[in-house]
Amino acid sequence: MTLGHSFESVLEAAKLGADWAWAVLYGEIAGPVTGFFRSRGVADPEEAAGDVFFELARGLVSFEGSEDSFHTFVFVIAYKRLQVESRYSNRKLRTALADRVLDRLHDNVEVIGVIAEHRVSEEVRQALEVLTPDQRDVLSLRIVGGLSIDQVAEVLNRGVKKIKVVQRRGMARVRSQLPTEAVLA
Amino acid sequence: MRSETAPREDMWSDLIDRDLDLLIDGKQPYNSDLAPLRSFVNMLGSFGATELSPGFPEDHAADGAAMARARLSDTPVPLSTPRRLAFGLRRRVTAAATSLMMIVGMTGVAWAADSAVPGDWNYGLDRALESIGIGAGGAEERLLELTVIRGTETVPLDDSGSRAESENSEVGLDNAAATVAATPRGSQRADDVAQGVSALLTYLADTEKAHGPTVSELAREFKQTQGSSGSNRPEASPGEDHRPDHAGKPADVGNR
Repeated sequence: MTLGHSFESVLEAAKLGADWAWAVLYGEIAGPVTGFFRSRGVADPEEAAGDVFFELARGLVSFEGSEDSFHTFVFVIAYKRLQVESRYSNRKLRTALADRVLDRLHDNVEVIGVIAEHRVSEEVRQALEVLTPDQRDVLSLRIVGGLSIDQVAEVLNRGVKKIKVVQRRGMARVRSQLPTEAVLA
Repeated sequence: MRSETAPREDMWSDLIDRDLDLLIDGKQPYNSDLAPLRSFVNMLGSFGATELSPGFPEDHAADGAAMARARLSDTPVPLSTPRRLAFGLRRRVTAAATSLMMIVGMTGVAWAADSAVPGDWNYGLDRALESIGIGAGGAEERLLELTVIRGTETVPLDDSGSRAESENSEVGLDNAAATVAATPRGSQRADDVAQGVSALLTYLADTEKAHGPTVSELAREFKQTQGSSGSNRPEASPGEDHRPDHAGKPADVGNR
């Protein structure tokens, strides 16, 4: 869901301190940001998202740009927050990510249906475990954060070509864990 | 140099990238080989659709609006959510400061214990720290301790690295023998010296492969001598020669 043409007016209202505008902005990004942290195994995703909101509130007054730029801006903060979490946390993110996926498999009927259809539950768990940190960054930002390749490149401060390669290799790794003979090039 | 197949590979990569974009956007990829990835994309994407806690993110939105208004009016505003430092830094700064204090404290204790000699209150701590790799330890430190106990500078120590530790061990054994023989028995100091020499011999017997049998023999003799309360050992007088013979064994230690 995007705000589209109304984004500019919402942003201006937020800068002036309108409660409703902040509620709209945060409502727009709360799910993806919290989901991003959750997918990366952060212990308290909502607390981490709250930290991002706080930083956003401090920096929004100087922000100028489109809605896409706003999302990139938000995930630049979120990614820095993830790095802080990784630096100070003893948790193993790879394992945590796999655990989250397993939780999903048990809790989410829709996902269970999808997985059951392809009979890949265990294979998907294994696929997540074999991803490199770079691949998890890119795939999480792309799929959970909803960012484009260009936006991911900006968040991770890498080239677009590099991000494409990482995405392709990450997906190939996942694909190699799934049960059919065909494999990505 | 690029191969002739490079353009074809690039084109194939572009096709894959386009299909992956379609897949991530929830659309059908052209390449049917990618279809099984849909389950992975759906599952990972569902992380972003999880139900949020009540009041989240509304409370944060109220804070954001209050901060924006405060910035316009140039006045500070109290927040409903407990964040004053970025990314929860207060908690981490506190943890880091506590860790730093503990490290400094432990380093100080370890440093103080490192110079302890047998008989000091913290000698046991020194040995315990050495056993886990903290502090110098080894034959070098045992020799230093003997030097301190004797109150003389008879043990040559060479930190240049040019001399093998085994040479120091030989000298240490000589001095250990001389120390035991020269120290009056029945005093606290004698007990300390005996303890220090025992520690030295035991250490060398355990660690010095080159001198293992010899040192083991010395350690055994020394412990037997200590166990016999010294009644059958000759009393030594200052200045008397207690140097070992050429076999590296003390000439006048124990009931030989």
